[in-house]
Amino acid sequence: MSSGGSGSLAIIVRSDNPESVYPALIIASTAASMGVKVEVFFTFWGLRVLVKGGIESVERKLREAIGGEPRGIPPLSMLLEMARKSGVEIYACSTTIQAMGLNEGNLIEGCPIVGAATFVHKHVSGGSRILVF
Amino acid sequence: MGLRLKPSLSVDARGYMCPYPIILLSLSIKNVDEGGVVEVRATDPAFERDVISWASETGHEILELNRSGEEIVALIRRVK
Repeated sequence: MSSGGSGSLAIIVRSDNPESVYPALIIASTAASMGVKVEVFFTFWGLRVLVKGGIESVERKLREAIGGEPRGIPPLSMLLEMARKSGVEIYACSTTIQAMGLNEGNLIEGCPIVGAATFVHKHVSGGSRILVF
Repeated sequence: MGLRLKPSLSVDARGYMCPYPIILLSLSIKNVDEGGVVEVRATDPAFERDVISWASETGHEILELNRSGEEIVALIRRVK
């Protein structure tokens, strides 16, 4: 175990269920805080998180599942902000955007739209660890 | 015990669970000069182990790590 923080992590989020979105962003922000380069790619139902109002919808789902306010866990909006402040980059899947009849204007700020080739080039060829939620 | 180290910055993560205490520490340590000390107070029981892992990865130095009841207090020196 040594210092310096290294490596890169690519996270694919394909669901907007709280059990996918929260752990994905918790791992992402923590890894970034430890010096790992992190990118999160939202695709299929995961893309809903990036649609305006989507974060609130995931938070609502969690409250419903728990039956009240979740204790101790930061709100998803705060988690996303902390992730970004820590250096996590967020990407939106172009094919999903097209399939759902959306455009960049429907998304929250700061989510570049990319396709599979960008992901493969950056992460598969580049040897990142890849996590799928 | 020597002189009590005086932190350059104190952050309060009490009441918040993972990843908040670590992220708060990580963001805060950027605001002190090299050699400066950040004090973190947390009640997440995982913080005691997590801060050791975080320091091991980032290279920052844990000067003190104490638990008193539910509260964990860590003093971390910014190394680089």
